[in-house]
Amino acid sequence: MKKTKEVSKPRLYIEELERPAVALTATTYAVGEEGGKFGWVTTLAIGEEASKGV
Amino acid sequence: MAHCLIVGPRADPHVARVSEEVGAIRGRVSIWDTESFPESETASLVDGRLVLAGKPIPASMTSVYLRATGPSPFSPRYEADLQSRPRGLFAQWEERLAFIASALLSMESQGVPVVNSPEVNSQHSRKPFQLELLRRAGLPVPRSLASNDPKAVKAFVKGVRDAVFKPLAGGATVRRVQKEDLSRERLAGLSLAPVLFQELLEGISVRVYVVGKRVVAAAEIHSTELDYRRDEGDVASTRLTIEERRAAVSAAAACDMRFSGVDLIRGSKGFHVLECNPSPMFAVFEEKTGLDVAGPLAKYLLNPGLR
Repeated sequence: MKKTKEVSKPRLYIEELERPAVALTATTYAVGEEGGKFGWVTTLAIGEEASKGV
Repeated sequence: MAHCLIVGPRADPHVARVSEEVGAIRGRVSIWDTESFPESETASLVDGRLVLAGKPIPASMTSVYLRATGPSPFSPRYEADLQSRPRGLFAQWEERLAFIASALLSMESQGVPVVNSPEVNSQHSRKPFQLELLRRAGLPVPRSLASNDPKAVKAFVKGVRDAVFKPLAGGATVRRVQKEDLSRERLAGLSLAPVLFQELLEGISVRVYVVGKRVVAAAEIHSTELDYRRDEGDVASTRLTIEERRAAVSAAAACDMRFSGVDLIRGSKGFHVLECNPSPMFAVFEEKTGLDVAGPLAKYLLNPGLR
């Protein structure tokens, strides 16, 4: 039987950007306001600094 | 009575701190809760005038503080929508942002200072452009390469010897370039998106808050991590040199920011300016250092003509 070669999908160079939002935010909150730490939230939602969405 | 508008989630500690400080100096605050808009909070633009929850925002507003526009489609709140209706979700996000940005830009065009303007905020997700603004102002910035060209990346890293990489638009922390990051497999990832590479600068991170044309607080942030956002360690107030102070104020001005969190790095051969943040966090910074950022910001919001 002929083997088919699996082609893996390319991934972003910055793999952190590939992670699901939940994981990202878990990290974010761990180092963010809810974790009582410094709060340099990297989340895309309220982004460090915040108005990333604009 | 001086009256300012704060745009951001009502539950955000920065919104709460600024609101409290404005109240303490007998100013009036209105809050546009972007966490609830448009799901449960109404807003209208009536011939260029903003109306929030049925109440017109007066044209005589002294300023607007833009803290945050609300959750992006990548927020966990929208995880289910991201899976089931991604096109609708992204359209929803863009339409919401179009409304918020239009409202703020309209107010700005009517003469109301916005701290900071949506246009200025966009620098946060256009890092190479902001670096150019800083460079043109004569400020010391790290050598940088934004590229999707593997050859250019290899040559740059070889030239600077030690390098870091980060996203152009944000959303991930800074990483040191390791040998394996220059492999063909890793560099193939550049075919999906370009990346920002910079020379690695060793030193102590310093966060400087600038309000108007004045430094209001500065602290050293000690960390064992390359990117202190992963673990900031000790945070202690610091005295800036005259050159650092001038550079921080010049950096904020070069980026057209009325309020900025300027990141410096102090090395053995002087300092560099890394970035100007248009909506910097400061609540926990205040707690850790005892320094006051919200107070000077509140005063500025009620009287943006203040130096």
